[in-house]
Parts: sequence; structure tokens; C-alpha cells
Amino acid sequence: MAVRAKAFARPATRPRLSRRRLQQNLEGWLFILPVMIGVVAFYVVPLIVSFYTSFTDADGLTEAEWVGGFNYQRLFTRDQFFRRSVVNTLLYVGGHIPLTIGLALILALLCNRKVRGVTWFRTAFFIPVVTNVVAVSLVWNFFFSPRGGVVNWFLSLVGIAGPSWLTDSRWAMPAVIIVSVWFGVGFPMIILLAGLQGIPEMYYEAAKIDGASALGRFRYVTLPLLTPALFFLSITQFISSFQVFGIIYVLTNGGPARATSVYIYYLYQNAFQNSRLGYASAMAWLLFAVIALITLVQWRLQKRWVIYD
Amino acid sequence: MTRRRFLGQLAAVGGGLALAACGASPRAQSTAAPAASGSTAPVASGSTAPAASGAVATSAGARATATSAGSGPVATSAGARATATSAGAAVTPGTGQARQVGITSFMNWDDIKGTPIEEVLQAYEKQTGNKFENVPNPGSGTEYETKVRTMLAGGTAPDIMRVNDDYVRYYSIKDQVRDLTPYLKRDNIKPEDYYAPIYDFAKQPDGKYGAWSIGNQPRAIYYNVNLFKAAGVPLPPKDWTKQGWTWNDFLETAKKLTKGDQQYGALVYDDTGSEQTWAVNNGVADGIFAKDGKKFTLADPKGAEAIQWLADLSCKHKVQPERGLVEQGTTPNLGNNLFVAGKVAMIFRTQGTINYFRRNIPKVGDPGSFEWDVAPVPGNVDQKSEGSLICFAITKPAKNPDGAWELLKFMGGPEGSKIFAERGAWITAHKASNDFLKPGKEPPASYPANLALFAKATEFGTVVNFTENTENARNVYRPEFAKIWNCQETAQVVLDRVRRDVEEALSGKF
Repeated sequence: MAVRAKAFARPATRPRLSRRRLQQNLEGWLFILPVMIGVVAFYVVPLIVSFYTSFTDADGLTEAEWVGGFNYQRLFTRDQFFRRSVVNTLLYVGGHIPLTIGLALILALLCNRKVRGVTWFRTAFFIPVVTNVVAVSLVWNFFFSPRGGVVNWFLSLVGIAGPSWLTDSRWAMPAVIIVSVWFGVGFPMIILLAGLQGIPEMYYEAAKIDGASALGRFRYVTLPLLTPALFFLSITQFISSFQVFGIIYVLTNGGPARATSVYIYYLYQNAFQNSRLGYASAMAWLLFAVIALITLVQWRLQKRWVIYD
Repeated sequence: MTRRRFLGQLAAVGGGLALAACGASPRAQSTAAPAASGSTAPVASGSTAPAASGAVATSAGARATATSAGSGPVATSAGARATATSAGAAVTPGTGQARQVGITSFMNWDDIKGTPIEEVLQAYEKQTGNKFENVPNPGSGTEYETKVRTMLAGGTAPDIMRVNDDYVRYYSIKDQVRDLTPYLKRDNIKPEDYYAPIYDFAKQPDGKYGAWSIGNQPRAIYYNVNLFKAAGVPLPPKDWTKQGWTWNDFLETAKKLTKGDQQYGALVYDDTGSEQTWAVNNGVADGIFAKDGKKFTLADPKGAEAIQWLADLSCKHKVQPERGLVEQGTTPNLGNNLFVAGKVAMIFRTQGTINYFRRNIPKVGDPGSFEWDVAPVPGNVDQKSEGSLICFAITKPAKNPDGAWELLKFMGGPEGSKIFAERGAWITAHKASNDFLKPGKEPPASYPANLALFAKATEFGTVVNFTENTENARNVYRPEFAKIWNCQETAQVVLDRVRRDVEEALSGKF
């Protein structure tokens, strides 16, 4: 590092790099070469290919033909199931993100107390994150069984006749959101916990001396200082919930009656069940554009609400 | 230290949970079940033809020694002929000599362990000295199709693959399967030895055989005799007749066999063949799709009426289990379990389900055991039943196409067909192998007494008019049917909504 710093410190008057610089550059390139090859072969090339594919009628089996903007045009003009998948995705995102981050915040606050056995709880809440999504979904599949399932058994204790969650198109999406929140709450909880523990004690002491109530301390000390963590979470959760697939694939297969057919699931169906690779590629690029746009907006908006210590 | 131990325990609990989850899934059960059936299958074979199976074993043994002595071909043909004659089938020229073709890779959509397919593949190894390599597939249905397409696109498909009868046309048009005509010609396979509707099913409009269709699994109504007797209801007809077995008769029977949510009279709407069967029987001559493959005839009023009739069994008459009980999330075929548990009196299934029922319905004397048999589907305007054809194809990327043909020939020819027929796997295309089903002959022990009905059902078979775009069309309308089955919308409303998209998919324009 020291050598490098020295090299940078040198005035940049000479137009040509010295031999030593060149050699250093070469070494650097060599070091990152394996990763570069990987990135180019497995990311850059497929990206370019999929962009091209989105303008063809490729099916993976026969020669692809150029169809121009047909795929994009059809998505917008006449695909009722595409529109439904967009609505479903928004429903999912609208349910998943507030619930996950809200619950994660509550859990993080609870787990931040100095109580006996708190590490036990932290571990317990985090366990779903390191569990396999297929195993989790299969277990929940049984929990949601209309008769004999745990969920409806609990509901029956309080006198509610539970629905047949996964086969009723009105309840399938709530069921998926419940599982996804249960499954995904651990990670944001850990991030928020780290954020909480990074808040210096002195702020709380100062607030106490000023007579702030517990709620006031949360509102004016904790929450503002957690905003960087919340910002990070809002972006990552947004992207990942737009791409939800595993839970739905195992739990509902997009059904019943496409009630849980979210964007990526519909994309998968087009690509691998209906052999419409071109159409699916167009969907993928559209999703990319939307996510990029939303992330950009979030990035711009952060100045309004994110407070860096 | 204590924390570490604690974490260790937690991990163990988590792992245990995951294992329990897998162990409890019905899919795991159904794959575990065939393993156990290995012990039951030989019983049937012993009871039908002990002499024959003995002959097979000896001839195979003779062959093994002969090969080591270096006189392979002669002994092979002798062995094979011995089997053929002991199987009681005519010796077809060309099947006598087994070519040495090495290893053939083979893929079926279900686990073949303990199934007649495995038995036939093993017989092939024994009698020809060639080998097969099984390519396992974890799921079935759409997952299998997805896997196949990925493998074909990547050039990694096995030599032989099972093809859903719906998609033979698709793979032929996309040039992903090899034409079998040269092989059929070369080995002088005689079409007159086979049932034409089965044998010619895979024949494409251009005359090429895209797959070999070696059997047919017609659908019928399986019924629980004990429940009929307990309710004092007359048994359904044994022959394929509408007499006393119309849709109304069926409904009335189902009503008498229903006891609230403890016992259901019928379960017919959860089989993939019910759309076609009920539509045709309601007078939609073409079935789901028109003959020219352009129109979605199921959406015609008669078709919608048929679908509504199926839905009404649960929505209106409450004689059929609600959808949530037979199809939970992605877990398929819960209905079979309901029948096995004696909670459903009549169930509409293919012949392929026989072996599942034989394995899982408790044997006589065990708790929960009951007598069961098969009856025709109820008739209305017509009385047809959709059959599922058993098709295997040699893939385009096959590395050993000649080996693939030898194996296919064995499966579809007299040797394999005899085993398939006698295990009740399907009605084989090879005519003579079904002789044991002729009237007056008792079916093998533990099979339904009326097993011969399936041979009859083959005559009254109907098949969907397939085009290369059938799957895409299906993927459009099938998911929407959930609203009908869940009694949220009527069949006509749903069918009207999807008609345009289905027909667009059929046209292949998209």
C-alpha cells in the first residue's frame, strides 16, 4: 500500500507511465484477472445476449428470429397475465416490506435489551435466514393445511374458522407474505441491531436529563440515528422482494388462479415452461429498468430523511 | 462454551426439522413406497407364470456362461428365443438377435425403482447383455418438461426420454426427437401385431414416428366396494355401458355415498383427463381443442357446461372433496390418499394408478382394508374416456441412438410388453401381450377383478387433439380453473376470459 501511495503522490507531469508503474498495473490486472474472466463470461456476456434475445422470438430449440420491439409491445398492450403479475408483485412488495422492516425494528429493539437469554432470542429470530427456502416452504405448506394445519388450529382456538390458505385465491398472497416475513425478518433485524448498538449511550443520557420520555427518546434519538440502516434495508429489501421466487415456487406454484404469480414467477414460466426466451428476456430487462429507476429515486430522496451521524 | 453447545443443539434441531419436513412430504412418501413394493411385485409374477419366469432366469444364466466362453451371439439368440416362447408370444423376426450396443441412458419422469419399467429394463440387461443408465428426475409434471427442454437445448438429453403424449407433436416439429421409421423398417416391426390407435399415435402428419407409443392407460372409475355395500347402493356396471350409469345415476350414487365431510361419494375433477373426458361426453366432439388445432372448443357452451358439472359436484352437491383437500399448494395427488383411506368412494384415475392402490390400500385382514374394483366412466351424450399414451422417444442429442432403439424395441416388443401388461402397468400396444385379459381369464391376484375393463376402455378412448402449441395453451387456461374449482366463478365466465389468449397460443403466433 505504501508503495502505491508513493506512486500516486508523484506529480503527474510525465505523459507515459514508468516501467515500474506499468509492471505494477500489470500485476494488479493479473490479480483480478480470474474474477474479471468470471464477470465477463458469466455476467457481461449473458447480459448482452439476453438484451439481444429480448428482441427475438428465441425458444432455445430452434433458430431465433428478430422481431424488433414486439415482445415489449405485447407486454404492455395485450398480456393480461403480465399485468396481473405486476399487480401481484406490488401487493407482495406492499405487504412484505413494511411488515418485515417494522417487525425487524420491534425485534431489534427487544433484542437490544440487556436481559438474560437475549442471545438465545437473537439466534432464534435469525435461524430462518440460514434455513433452506425449500424446507421452510414445505413445512409451511403443512402449517397452512386447511384441516389439521397448525395455523387453522390456532385460529380455531379463538373461534375463527381459518380459510384454505394456499388454495383460496384470496388468501394465498397473505399466506405467502406471512411466510416471507417469517423467513426474512432475521436479516434486517441483525442490521438494525447493529445500528442500535452503534448509537452512543451519551445521546440517551442527554435526552433523559432533558426530560425526554421513552417514546421521545425513540422518536428523536433512536429513529434518526437508525436512518442509514433503514435506508440500506429499504433498498436491499425492495430489490429482493421484487425478485421473490423461491417461496412461491415451492408454496403455491403461482396459483391458485395466478393469485401469487409474481413478476419473476411469470418470467420463469415464460422462459422455461413456455420456451419463450425472448419474451422472458424482455421482461427481465423491463424489471431491471424499473428497479434501477426506483433505486435511483430512493437514492435521491435519501437527502431528505437519512441522517448520517 | 455453553453458547457453542447451545448453537450446536439448535443446529441439530433445525436439521431434524428439515429432515422431518422432507420425510413428511407425500412426494417423499410416494417415492419411498415403490421401494417397499419390490417385495410385493414378484408375488404377482409368481402367481401368473412361474414357469415363464423360471425359464427367463435359466436362459439368462446360460447366456452369462456362454459369453464368458466366447460364443456370445449364438447363446444370446437362443436365450432370447427361449424367453420369447416361454412368454407365449409369437417370435417376431428381428427381435431374436440382440445387438451389442453398449450403455443406453434412459429418463422417465418418475422414480422407476420398484416399477414395471425397472423390471423391464433389468430384463433387457439380462437378456441382451446391454446396459442401461437411469437418469433420475426428482419431480414430474411441468418440472419434468422444464428439465427436458433445458437438456435438449443444452444437448445433454439422455438417449431415451419419456415424452408426455401431449408434447410428441411439439418435439417432432422442433426436430428434437429422431424419426423411428428407419428402425421400424430395418427390424421389420409388423404394424398388424400392434393396436393401430396406440401404435400410430406418435405418427406425425409427414409420416415420421416421433416416438414409440408402447401402451395406453385409459381412465376409469375406481370404487370402494365396501362403502357401496355399507350404504346399500347397487354396484356400478361391469361392462362399458351407459345403462344405469349416466351422469345423473353417477350423481345420485355419489350422494348416497356421502357423509358430510367424513366421506365423499366421488372425486373426479382433479385428474388431468377430466376436462377432455367430460367435455367429449357432453357432446363436444373435438374435446378441448378443435381438430385443426386452432380453436379452443372447451370454451363452447357444451364444454363449459361439462366443466361446471364437475365443479358442481363439490360446489353445489357437496359430494366431492373441496379443492383444498385434494390439491394443497404444490403437493399433488392428495386425492389418491383419500381413496386409500376410504374417505372417497369413487375416484376417476388412469390405469397407471393401479399400482399405487395395490401398494397402499391395506391388504385383506389388515385394519382399513377394503375391496376395490373398476367401473366405466359415467356416460351422457357419449361415454368416452381419455387415455394417456405411454411414449418414449430417442432424443436428437442421443449419443447412442442404436442402443436407444434396442432398448425401445425391447420395451415395446413382445418381451417388455408381456411384463408391462401382466403388471397392469398399461394396455400394451403389442396385441398378444394383453391376451390374459380376455374374458373368462382371472386377473392376477391383488388386481381389481374387472381389470379387463381397461382393454374395453381403450376401445372407447379419446385423445386430446394435440398441436405443437398445446402446452402453451394449457399453461394459459389451467391455472385459471382454480376459480371454478373454488366456486368463485362459473366455468363459462372463466373460459370466456381466457379464450382469446388460448387461441393466440394455439396459433403459434405467440
